[in-house]
Amino acid sequence: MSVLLELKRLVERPYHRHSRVLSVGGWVERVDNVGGLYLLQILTDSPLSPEPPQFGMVWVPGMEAVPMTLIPAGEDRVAILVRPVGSTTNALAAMRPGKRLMLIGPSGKGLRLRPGTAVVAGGSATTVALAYAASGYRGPYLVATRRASEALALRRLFPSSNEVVTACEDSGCDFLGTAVDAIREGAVDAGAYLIAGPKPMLRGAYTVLRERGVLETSYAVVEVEVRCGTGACGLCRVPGTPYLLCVDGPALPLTDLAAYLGVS
Amino acid sequence: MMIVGRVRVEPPVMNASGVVAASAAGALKVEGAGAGAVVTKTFTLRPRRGNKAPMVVPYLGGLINSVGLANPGIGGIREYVEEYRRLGGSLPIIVSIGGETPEEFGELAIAATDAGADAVELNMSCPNVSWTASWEDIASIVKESVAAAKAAGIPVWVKLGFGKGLLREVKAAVDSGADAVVLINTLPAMLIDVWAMKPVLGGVTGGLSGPPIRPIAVKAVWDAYREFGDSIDIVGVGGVDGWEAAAEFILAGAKAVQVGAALSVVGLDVIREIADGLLSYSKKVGRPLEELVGAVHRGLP
Repeated sequence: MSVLLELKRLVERPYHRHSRVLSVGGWVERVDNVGGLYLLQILTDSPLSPEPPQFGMVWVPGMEAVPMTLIPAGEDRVAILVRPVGSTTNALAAMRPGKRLMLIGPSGKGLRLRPGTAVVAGGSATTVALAYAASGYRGPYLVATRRASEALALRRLFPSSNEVVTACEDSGCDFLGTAVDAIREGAVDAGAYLIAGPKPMLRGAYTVLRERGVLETSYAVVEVEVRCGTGACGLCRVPGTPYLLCVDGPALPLTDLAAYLGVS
Repeated sequence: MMIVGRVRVEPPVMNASGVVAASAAGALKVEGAGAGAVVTKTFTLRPRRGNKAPMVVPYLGGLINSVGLANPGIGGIREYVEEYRRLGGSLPIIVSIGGETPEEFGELAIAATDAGADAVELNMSCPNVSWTASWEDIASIVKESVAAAKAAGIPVWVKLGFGKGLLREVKAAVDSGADAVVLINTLPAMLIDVWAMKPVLGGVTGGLSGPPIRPIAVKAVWDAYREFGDSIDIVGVGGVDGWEAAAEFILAGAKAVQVGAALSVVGLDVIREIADGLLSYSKKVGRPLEELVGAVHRGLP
């Protein structure tokens, strides 16, 4: 190769390289009440193309941004499932079609599941299961909520071909009890699990999955305080691990989470 | 081997303060990515929560941030440095400090020295805090702050922002015996969503970094080297997203570069790419990197 060609090869690259994380605006296209939660379909200014369980920072202009799992919803579209618990999520829940919101994402890494991996999602993290279902993963899924009405409403969002088990703490679900109870009792039986939920649920699942010898093949979707969502500020460290949630997470190998979960 | 501001930085690539290495775990990631030194988040005397989210917005291959120096305060310095060493961190560690007065810079520098830092970087130019905006004569404050920090006994680097008075501020750093200047900090910036008719950032205004500011940063390094030559070491920062960008800074007069926005926008691997690319470039042009520092002023080859 001539020196000139070699030099050209060295400098030949786009001025702006691919950015992992984008900042975009979006328009609310549709809002559905799902058992007291709000599913917002958003048409974005540019495609975000999230891969589960990636998340984004979402906010109503002028309000504080909050991290939310991004549900793939086709080209130039994403969906979010809002549980109205704070000022931003209340404002999001009150949005109507045609209203403007802002997003930064997708943050973190996608995790492609091996066929047969069970997705167990509880509490506000049930969105993670919806994100996988929207991306074409068939399950099995375990959706765990306190109230049956919420679990059953969420169940209707999955394609009918998906294998979905519901668990709740009142009657009406497939399983009566918590997500951890359901795993322990074999309500979903798999060789690998992706667990998404609050820390006590992850801790319980860790113990059960260790007893069943499937810890090494399993992951957990972790929730810590996220400030910037891009990995730039570095404040999203998962305690007791070398991981930054916005860069390495939100799904992390369960075997690396013993210190974070406080299990020995 | 590149000695920068009395610190061995090999390869001559570091993270910029506030990016990724906000914790010891982040610093280890920077080390693992192949940097020659790590720069901490800026520590202030008192803890700061920072601005509300969104505090970092990707923009044109760079970032606009309004983090606002979120940090645990002076007590966090020892914790950071000790944890980094305990976890096996072996690189020189530059502790970034942000004082509101020269006395505060002195106090923070002592804390950094006691914690085992290899140098302090005086952040005198963050656009997201109120006190830097209120400084009327930055050059005088640079002079007094460097003097106060030097009393701690470790190398003192000074991070400055681009502006009309930049060369006066660099001169103040030279005159007061600073070991290096770090040029430049983010540029004051703002984003507005025209449909929402509201500012995008939680902190309303912020600082722009990344490729959009690189030509300005290169010019600042070029100006400083032309004016002060080898009398002070220069670290170039602002839009370094690959080895060519790093080479631009070195040819303009920088002995090392810091990488900020690209660590987030492109990923941590960019550090190794820069380090390897500089080495390869140096071989291709047949000169060691040390000889290429400021080469554009000498008309090489």
